[in-house]
Amino acid sequence: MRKLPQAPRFLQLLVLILLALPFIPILYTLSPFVFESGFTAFAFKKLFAKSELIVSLFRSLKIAFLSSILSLVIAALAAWRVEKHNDRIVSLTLHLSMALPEIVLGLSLLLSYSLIGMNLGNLTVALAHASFTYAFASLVIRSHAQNLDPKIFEAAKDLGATPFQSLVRITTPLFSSSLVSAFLLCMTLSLDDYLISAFTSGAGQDTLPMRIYGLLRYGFGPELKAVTLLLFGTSLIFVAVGLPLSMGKKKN
Amino acid sequence: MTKRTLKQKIPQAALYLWIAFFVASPLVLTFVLSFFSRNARGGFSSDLTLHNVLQLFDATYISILFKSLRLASLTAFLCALFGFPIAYVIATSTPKKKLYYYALLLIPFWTNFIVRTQALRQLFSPAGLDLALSPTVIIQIGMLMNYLPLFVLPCAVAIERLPASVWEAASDLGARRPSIWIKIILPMLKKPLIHGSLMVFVPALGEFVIPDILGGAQGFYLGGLISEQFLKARNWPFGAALSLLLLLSAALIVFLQKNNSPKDIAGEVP
Repeated sequence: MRKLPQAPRFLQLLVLILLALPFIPILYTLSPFVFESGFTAFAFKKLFAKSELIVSLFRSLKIAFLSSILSLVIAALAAWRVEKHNDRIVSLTLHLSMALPEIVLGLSLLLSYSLIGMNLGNLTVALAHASFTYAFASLVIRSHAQNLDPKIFEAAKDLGATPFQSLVRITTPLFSSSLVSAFLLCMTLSLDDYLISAFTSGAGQDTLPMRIYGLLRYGFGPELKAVTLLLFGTSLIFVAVGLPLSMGKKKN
Repeated sequence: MTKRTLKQKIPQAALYLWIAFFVASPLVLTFVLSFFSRNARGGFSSDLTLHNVLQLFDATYISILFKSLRLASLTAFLCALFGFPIAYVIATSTPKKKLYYYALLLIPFWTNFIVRTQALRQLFSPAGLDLALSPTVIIQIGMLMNYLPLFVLPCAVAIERLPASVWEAASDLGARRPSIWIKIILPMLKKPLIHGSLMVFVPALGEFVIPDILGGAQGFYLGGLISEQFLKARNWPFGAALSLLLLLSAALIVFLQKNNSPKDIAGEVP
């Protein structure tokens, strides 16, 4: 299908400038790493001395991994219901979950946890993260599914594949690229989240963003700049890996 | 029930259970909680009252509410204003260029937003650019930067799906560029544009962290008020009542989408 005419040059240039603007504050913050000699070693030494930052980083990674796995399973189920069975309830729920302000999700889950008497901890945070990341993951999987030929699955069935064989040998490999990019998206969203974690985590069990938030009161120290560098680097890697994977499908 | 339908029912039931536990019932409980009373120990009791809801109309809270509504609607407007040209350029560019545009859009977006927002604060601080901007303006810039991709991503997909034949037909029939845009393209994009703006407006209404980091004492909005009620003042019923507006605006999105087929309800996150 052909598309609308390309945007005029000046507009393309303007958009490039607009998209470059958000990099300025980040690069400004990271400038000491380039311009001040010895800053890198100093900042990372400070970072490793702050053991609570390291502890919360690992806690965040654990929560992000757990919630992303769970989120992928639910997202795949939701994508299957919407794409294959036109399930209206699920589709509206996905929508609601994406639009819901974080604070509402956070407080309503805190309320539910306290009503059923669940102790707040890493598990409650991971469940809470999965309950919003699944909607975004499902979007990635669904947009992939819309570009697939349903005949593939019919062919597998005609050739005698059981539903399980078909799932393991046809569906999963076909969806592997979108599963990877959905997983990276879930990890990012989970690692990024402050508010929902603040509501659903147990006392003294801060995630990395919560810990950073707490430390910001004492200024933007070198250890936080080191964290910024790490997080910016992670984002670069995730985008470099995830983006071509989720865009690649369009060429098929 | 045949074996085959049973195999489909189990995953379906699992999904519905998940939705019931983690989406539906928490929201219903929050709604109900806003009519409960607070008890002395910072908990709540099931004596029904309208006190919390009536308290919302207190002048202090009304002014915070309006302040938040203004911030969220201005953010949605600015995201549409800047986001539309971006989405248009992305949607109509070659696949290779598109990859670069998306990468530019997503790299800051995927960098932790607390450090990103703090970096913005550093930039505008006296030690940085020192433009002497008011906190409200800085908050607005922070909101725009953070929410822009939420508008651009679904909007770019919608533009990409417009067939070129529409454009060609219009220009073959002698329409000029501006009138093609105003009379044909924009009306065709009405739904995705409204939807994209709501996807910014609703979460922005409950935003807490960005105003808090960038605004200092002046960064107290609805999100801050709600989390204060829950995490500090321990007045959960009133916190729930404050979030009623957010619940309602989220319900509005669902209501507007209700008449679309599930497959139309799509944006895309690359």
